[in-house]
Amino acid sequence: MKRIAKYFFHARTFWSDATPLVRLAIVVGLLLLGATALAPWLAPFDPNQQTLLARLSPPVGFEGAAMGHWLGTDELGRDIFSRGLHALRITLGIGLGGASLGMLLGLALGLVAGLKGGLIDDLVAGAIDIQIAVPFTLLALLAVAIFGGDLLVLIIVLGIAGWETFARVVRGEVIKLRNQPFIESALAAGASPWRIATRHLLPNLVSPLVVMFALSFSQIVLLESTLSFLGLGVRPPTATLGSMVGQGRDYMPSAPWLVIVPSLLILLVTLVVQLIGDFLRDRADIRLRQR
Amino acid sequence: MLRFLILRIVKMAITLFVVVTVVFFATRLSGNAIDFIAGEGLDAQSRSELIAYYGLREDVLTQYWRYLRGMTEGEFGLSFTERRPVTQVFWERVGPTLQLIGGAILMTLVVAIPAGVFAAVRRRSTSAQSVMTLAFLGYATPNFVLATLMLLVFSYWLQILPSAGNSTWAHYLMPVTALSLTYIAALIRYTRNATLDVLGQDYLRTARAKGMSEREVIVRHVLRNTLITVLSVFGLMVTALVSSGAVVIESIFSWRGIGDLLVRAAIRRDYPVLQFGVLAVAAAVVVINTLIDIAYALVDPRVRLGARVS
Repeated sequence: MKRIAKYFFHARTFWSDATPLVRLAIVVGLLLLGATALAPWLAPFDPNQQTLLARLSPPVGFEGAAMGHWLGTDELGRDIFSRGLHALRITLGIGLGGASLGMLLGLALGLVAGLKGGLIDDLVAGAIDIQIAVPFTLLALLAVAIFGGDLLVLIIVLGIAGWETFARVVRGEVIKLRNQPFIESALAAGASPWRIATRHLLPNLVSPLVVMFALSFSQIVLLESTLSFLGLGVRPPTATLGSMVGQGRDYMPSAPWLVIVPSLLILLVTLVVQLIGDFLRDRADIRLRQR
Repeated sequence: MLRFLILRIVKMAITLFVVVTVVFFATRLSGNAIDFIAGEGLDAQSRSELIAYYGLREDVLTQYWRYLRGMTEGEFGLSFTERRPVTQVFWERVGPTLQLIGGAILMTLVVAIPAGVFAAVRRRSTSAQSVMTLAFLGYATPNFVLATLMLLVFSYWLQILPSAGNSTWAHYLMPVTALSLTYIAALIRYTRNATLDVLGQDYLRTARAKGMSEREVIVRHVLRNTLITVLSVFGLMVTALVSSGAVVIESIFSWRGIGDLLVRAAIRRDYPVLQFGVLAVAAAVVVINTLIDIAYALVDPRVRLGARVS
């Protein structure tokens, strides 16, 4: 049974199964991750340092560009390249943190509900139904209004809201696996629920979990960008990609790069995540693999 | 059928009750809401008058009880910022949002289903493959990015489309397109997959063998069976549109709808409006989901309602 998990991550087939486009996406994704990890060292300027003399200067190559500001400066003379790098760091950090939190919560509840059944299962299933009725965006609006745009609060809220997808799928899988002979024989051999969950069920859950993680990650990145765009996310002056687009809107006619640069960065991130996510999903789908 | 309906209605009521309760107590977590709306420098007497005016004097449990009682009479409190009943504020915004969402639903169906069926039937042609590439790009593009870039190009550079408001048909073009793009892209992919599944079925060979024209086969057999699969996905899309899609688009295009209202309420901490908004949207989502389940059972005789409840 562990072979499934092993196949999923097997390095050689992982690379050879990928189309050239997916390989490009993986490389770009790793580069983006590397750039965000090294942002404080790569960025030529402090992202919040204002240079009022070099306000709204266009990217290099356009008339009136200021020295050293590759992608131009914003309305306060802050370097857009440096802000973009740091913004990417925060956006990806929130995505990873939020998706991990949702996965841990959903996995734990889904496992317990699926294994124990009975009242606990009914409660978890009911909670899933209720969570579905309250859309992600509204929950986020509510949380931001109540707690304000604190980074940690944002991660926690976005993560908690994502638990439902994980719990639903994990619960379904566990119920399906619960009556399989290998679980029954493990039970007969006296394995504890903890052992069954970690040694027998978890390896079978790896591929759906990875796929859902990618999905949840892109959903959270999107939601965070949207909230920041509306001015409801992380508080200024800290840059996130969404807030850069949102604040740049006021200068659209005269300084379009304020909007275009972060927009393109967001597009790049969502495209890469999408390509890798699709690839992982196809890989996890056994039916498709045999076709 | 009756048993199914009753079960669903009970479930809906429980869900909405939990939502009301959680939202009510959550908004009370951050302390007295009066301090946000009144600001500093308010003398003690006006402050206590304001607190009384909005019914925030009693302890939380009494307020909660009063809120529940008010609900049965259609009372949901006063908006902090507009000092009018929440329902009144909300009602004015329903029309524009419905128009926007209706436009998006129409556009999605009209574009995505033919495009998806086409992409499946002619799957090896270049045009079908470009449709799928466009669908992929569309799916990956966040709607606020698309909306902002469209504004930049069509309103500021070319100056051919208005950037805000909803008075003429041209005002609908950008918001509806920006709102539908994700859903069009997603529905094209689903429709294509559903059609491909149908194309492999034996009954198509039978239909062709008895002399049906290819066009008739597509319309009468492929399309109809595809729609069953598409319907369930489409339902999810409608709830997504209602609940989240419109929020951002309305803010960008200054569309005076519910999404715009809720974003403003979140910024100004107008809790009564937010509270009612979350409840209303949750109610809409639950009702739509139930309707979809019923429609699904009507379209597909293989689905039996009783069996799905457990």
